[in-house]
Amino acid sequence: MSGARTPSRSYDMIMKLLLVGDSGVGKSCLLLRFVEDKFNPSFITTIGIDFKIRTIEVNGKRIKLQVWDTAGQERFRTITTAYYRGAMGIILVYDVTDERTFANVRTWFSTVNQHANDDAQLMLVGNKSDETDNRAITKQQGESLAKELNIPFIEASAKTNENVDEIFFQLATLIQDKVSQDQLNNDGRGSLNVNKAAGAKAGCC
Amino acid sequence: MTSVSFNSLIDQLNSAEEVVSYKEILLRCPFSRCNCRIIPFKYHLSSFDDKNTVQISETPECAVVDNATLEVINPQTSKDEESTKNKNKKKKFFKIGDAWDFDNIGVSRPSDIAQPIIHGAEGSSGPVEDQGKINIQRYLVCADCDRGPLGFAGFVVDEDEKKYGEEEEEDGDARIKNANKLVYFLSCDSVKYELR
Repeated sequence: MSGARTPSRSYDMIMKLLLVGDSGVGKSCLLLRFVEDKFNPSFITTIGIDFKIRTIEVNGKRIKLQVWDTAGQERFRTITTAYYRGAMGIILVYDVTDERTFANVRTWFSTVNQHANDDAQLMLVGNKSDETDNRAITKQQGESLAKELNIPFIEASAKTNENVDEIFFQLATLIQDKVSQDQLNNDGRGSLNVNKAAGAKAGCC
Repeated sequence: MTSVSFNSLIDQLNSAEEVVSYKEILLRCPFSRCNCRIIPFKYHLSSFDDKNTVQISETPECAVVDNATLEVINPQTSKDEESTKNKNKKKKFFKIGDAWDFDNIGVSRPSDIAQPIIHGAEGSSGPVEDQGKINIQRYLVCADCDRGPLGFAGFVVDEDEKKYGEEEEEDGDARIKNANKLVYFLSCDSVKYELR
């Protein structure tokens, strides 16, 4: 809290993640839970979430995620470079009921590659998987696009909350593996250096 | 392990010695079926007192945890008269300078629903020089259940740079840049205190 920074922070690594994709694919919904409750004035669904800090545990390590929603920024297609700066993970979202948003994934992919860090981990997410009646893109189509782009893929439903936590957990795990691997490569003795992982902060906030 | 409201916590700290046997205070979401871990309190317990908080009046309305039941009192159901009275009352907030200090928190988009500018004073009766203007921009909500507000975030207005945060709605660059300079005010009455 204010002014009381302990020398060793209560986490092993921090990661900035970004949700991108066409307008209407449900990026915001992946950050919001829409808990219906008499106490919920639903003000937050109107204003929207800019970012969330979440702490998760991956392989015994405490990882802090800062997840940014880029909704409302889509019309700048490039989203602005500030969003990409330091982002270690980027979630490309499309809507399984909307062919157009799926077709645009390629454009998003190249835009992201243009602006994001070279080592940013990408992930493809087909949202609204609960809408079986309106589905326009099969899971296989999603899988084969992901394979082509060489990125992991998952279908999720913000509405039913299916696989939503999985997105962030899988992405964080992939990033952590990558960072650990880099450290192994950089460190001749092959020992993990947690301090180096914590040092990733400098690049991501 | 026990959970208390802010007022009970302060009472306990002021009166009972047994509290010192707890090692840690965790601030948690007070809403039903949630209990999300928001932030650990890092000070030594014996130093946990009013000095760690800032008092601010005319703040946006935040959730209030009832002392006895630890349930959230919905600010919107309180009587108008009462609500006006409460509004002018100074409320206590933890001031947090870095979003990464939180374990879990949701930060809303910039919004003018919150009052634009309030005055903040370090401590209860600090000199005028220590008071700062805060340009309130965003609400803080629980990262798990999205309920709140648990506080707000804003910019300490720098007299030389008054225009901070005015243009961000359209420009993502400014929005991000500004977000990195946010100061967070977590309402003391809006969270549960778990003594461990």
